[in-house]
Amino acid sequence: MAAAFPYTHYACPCSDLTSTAPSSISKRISNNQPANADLTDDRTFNPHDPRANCALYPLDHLLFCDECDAIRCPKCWTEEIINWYCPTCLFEVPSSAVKSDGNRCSRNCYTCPACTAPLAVAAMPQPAGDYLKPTEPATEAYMLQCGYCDWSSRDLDVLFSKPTKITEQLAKQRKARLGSSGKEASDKDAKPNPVGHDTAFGSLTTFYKAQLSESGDAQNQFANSPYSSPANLQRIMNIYGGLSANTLKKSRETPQPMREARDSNEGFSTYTPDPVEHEATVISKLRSLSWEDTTTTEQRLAAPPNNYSRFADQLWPVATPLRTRKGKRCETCRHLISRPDSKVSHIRYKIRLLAMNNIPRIFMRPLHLPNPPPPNAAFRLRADDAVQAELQPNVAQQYILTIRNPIFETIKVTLATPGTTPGNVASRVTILCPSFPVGPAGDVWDEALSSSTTPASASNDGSRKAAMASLTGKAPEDADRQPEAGKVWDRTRNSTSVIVEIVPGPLKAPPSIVPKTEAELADQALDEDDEVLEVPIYVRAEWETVIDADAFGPGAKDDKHHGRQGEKVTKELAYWCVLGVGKIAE
Amino acid sequence: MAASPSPAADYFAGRPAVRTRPPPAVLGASHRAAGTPGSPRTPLLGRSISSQFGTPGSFRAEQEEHVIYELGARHLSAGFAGESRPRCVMRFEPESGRRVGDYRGYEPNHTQKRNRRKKGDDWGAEYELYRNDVRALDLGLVEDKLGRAVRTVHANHLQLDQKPRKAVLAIPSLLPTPLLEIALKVLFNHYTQPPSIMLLTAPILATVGAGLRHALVVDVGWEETVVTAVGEYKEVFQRRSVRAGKMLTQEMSKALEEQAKKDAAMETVQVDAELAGDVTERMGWCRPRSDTPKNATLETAKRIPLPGHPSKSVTVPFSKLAEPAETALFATNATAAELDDHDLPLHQLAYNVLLALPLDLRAICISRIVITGGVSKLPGLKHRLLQDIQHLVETRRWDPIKHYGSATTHHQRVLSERNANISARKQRPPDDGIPLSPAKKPIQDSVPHSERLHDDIKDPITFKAERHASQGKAKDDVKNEVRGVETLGAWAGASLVASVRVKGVHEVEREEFLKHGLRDGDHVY
Repeated sequence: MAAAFPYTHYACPCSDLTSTAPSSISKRISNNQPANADLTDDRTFNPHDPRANCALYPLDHLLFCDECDAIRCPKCWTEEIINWYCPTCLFEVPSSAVKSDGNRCSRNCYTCPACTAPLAVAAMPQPAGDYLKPTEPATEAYMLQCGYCDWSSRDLDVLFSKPTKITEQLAKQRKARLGSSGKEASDKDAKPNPVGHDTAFGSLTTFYKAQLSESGDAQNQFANSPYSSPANLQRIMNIYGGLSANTLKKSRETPQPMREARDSNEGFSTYTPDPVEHEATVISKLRSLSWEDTTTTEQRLAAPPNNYSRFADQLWPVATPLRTRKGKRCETCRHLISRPDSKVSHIRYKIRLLAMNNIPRIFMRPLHLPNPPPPNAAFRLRADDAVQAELQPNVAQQYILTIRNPIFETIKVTLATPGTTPGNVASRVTILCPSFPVGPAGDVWDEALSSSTTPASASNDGSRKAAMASLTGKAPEDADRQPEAGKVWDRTRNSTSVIVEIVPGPLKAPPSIVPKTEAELADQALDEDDEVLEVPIYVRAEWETVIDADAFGPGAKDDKHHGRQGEKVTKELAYWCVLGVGKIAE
Repeated sequence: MAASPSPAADYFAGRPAVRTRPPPAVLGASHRAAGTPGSPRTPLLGRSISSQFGTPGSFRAEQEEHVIYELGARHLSAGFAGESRPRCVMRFEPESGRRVGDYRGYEPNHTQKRNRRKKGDDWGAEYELYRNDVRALDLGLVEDKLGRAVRTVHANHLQLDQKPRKAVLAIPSLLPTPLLEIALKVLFNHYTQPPSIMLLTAPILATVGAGLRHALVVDVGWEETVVTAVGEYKEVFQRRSVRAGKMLTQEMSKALEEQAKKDAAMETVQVDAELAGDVTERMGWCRPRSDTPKNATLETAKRIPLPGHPSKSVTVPFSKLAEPAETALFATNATAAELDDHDLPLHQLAYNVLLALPLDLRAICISRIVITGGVSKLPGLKHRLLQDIQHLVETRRWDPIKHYGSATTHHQRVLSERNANISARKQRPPDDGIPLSPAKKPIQDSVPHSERLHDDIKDPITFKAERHASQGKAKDDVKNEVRGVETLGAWAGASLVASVRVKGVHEVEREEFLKHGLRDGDHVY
């Protein structure tokens, strides 16, 4: 994975990979699990499954719905757009204009079609002679110029007479180019017909509309009447008015079927087997140009006008696509879980329920750090800087797994992990103490200021000491301690650490005496990420909370769901997460 | 309105106003209280005179916009009805299947690392959403990928507000039902919540996009080339061949590797599906049928850089770049005996479809050949295909038997006899001078079956079309010559259909789908 080791990714329980009831159509077929594995509850989450890529998220990408008490990921929240704005000029676009502008900025924001850097409006350099003897007021000309590569709108022969209203000028020039010279249009669309795509579409639309109104029913005969409702008018006419001449004629003859389009005015164009000039032009152009002069897929797909551009000199500048600011709602209860400020320039959020503040957080570090400790990957500047050491296969390693509790209640955490990691490389994983309490979060200074308030889960080691340790970030230093099964390794105010033992499996199976068949060898071939050791862990947290009457408002007196005021209810939260430990050495 | 009840009650003071002022608790409910028998009043709004003749506003709301999706094996395009191009075309790539927060694809030397060759059937598997053989397909993965693509399309390109909009989904015809179900599920469960989805198939849309009613649609796609005969907007006959984009890129890869091997300086170069596809799209071409070698003097060499090896490149002569299309699509290097039913070359496939059609439709379709699909953008392909079809038609005529073997002489004799018969019949003067419209002509039982006029087709549309023809309106229809017609493609066709508000035959309602799913397949097909 691209993230630096060790990392933790969280799986949203909404995926049917992580829930226990797979829907019928998404039953795994290609999986080599036995068929009955699906039926039992103890399916484990396989982080090497290609589907896992769509279910795992870093914690900061997840939100939390506090009505449903559930993690929410992009699959299970709905989005509503608060405003549209251009990321370049930060101009907010009214919602009525968004669609007609093609979800792109209609001001002067353009990006380079070749390299996607923003374009700047620049004045055309004048010939040197004009500076010395300015004969007449020179006609000003402007162009769009890329600051990164050397693309400019001169490559297209597009120049502007004034530096403002670029969009209008550009649209006019494109229209003129597509409309007047058919040859340009055919080059543009890399099609042998002289009719451009957009022109053909327009004429076909009018053709079909005309045909439908001709052949269609007599219902819309009053469409042009000053009355707003043609159906009503027709109804009245049918009751009182008798039939008009037009209606009589139409009712007498049954409607004709729609005919086919016939000529290019109707958007119809044909070609014959005989070789045509346009096609030959394209091929001979292709023959003469080099690889760099043809467009890449990204360039073509960047904007609709460039979809059919085959050559780099046909690329049209790309208007900057708009960005949106979105509010997010829980899909099940429609409760807002994230809502940014509606002003474009404000980056504040009005509502933001992050999963980070609501679910137990897990991280992992080696118990014995190598000496010297490897630098954080974020500070790696050069490629030849020391990289993280790879894990040696079949050598047991111990790791400290820390659970940090962000909520204000003591939680009981149960961890579960498959004994051997799923996937092609089987590593053995043992959590020495899988079930333990974690103290509540609170204001850091609470305990430091008043030593009398001990946390509910007051353990034997002094909480003051633990608080100090958590403040200074130093673990109690007793080097000769040995990890023990069933014992918690370390405990601070709102976090608990346990020891995990991992034996990385070998990447290759041991050589066997029996020669292997081709199919077996193919089975053993490793996929892209198989050498990455990832441990799936099922985390289940349980806690008791007091019903807060204010939280539901005075109207909500639904005893069935929320319990009486002041009563304790047990809540639980369970999810899969994946710990990336490191890469296994060959 | 809320304030009106009490003065009104005072005004009709025929009876004592017991409740001149409603109690404060009922104030909010004064709308309901207004109808009590104690206070007879004229309704204030003219609109409520009659619900039949009111509500003009509801008619304007009919101008609803449709969102149009086109689903292909390798792409999803989306946009709005009435526009000529989709707002975006999303391709499925390995990079789009990564985890959130995994930016490995942006590392400069990334492609080099990923250079693992997948053999055989797996060619290009990372670049496709599905394949038609769903037995070995992880349908859950398809659903995840498609769901992610739809979310990306909406977040980055469509950016719609909350109003529910109907959707149109253009799919290849005979898309496997599980895949169709997944596509519908993803679209219905997406937060834009379309109330209904209209399903349209690509050959019909290509026909609409060409402005035709009948057509022979040659859809050169990724996995398969599908040749469909369309008559009166209906799919009449369809045949498939595996000679399509996938095979083309595979051939291109082989050609490039071969070329690289010739430049002895290089170690073995592996050309993966991405590079091969890229080369095909950018540099591939298709030579006309009778390409004289005079062009050899114009031969130029193309330098194609290899990704991951910044300094390395393969130099390929330009003519070599036309070879893959020859071998993959037209099978010029294979003899007829080597070809199986599933891998017929394109012109042969089109010819077979035409041959299977009824005579009238064949005559119409042959001059309405619509070539569409991703590979049809290959320069020169359309003309080459037409030339080959024409050549086939000219050499074989419309005879299903290719070789008569020892019976050749016999066959020729039969043919010549038949010709004589036909010409003799033509010389015979017509019995009745009045040309009756075929539609009005009664079916006589005495007439032999072969000479009856359309006793088997009692389609009202056919009647109309014939009457049309008898009125001489359609006399300039081109028939019996090989001719291609440009189409705007399936997406634009769907956009056209939706913009003129044609009601679809296959429309799936959201409520129904979420409740029952696809009803054992017959709901749609």
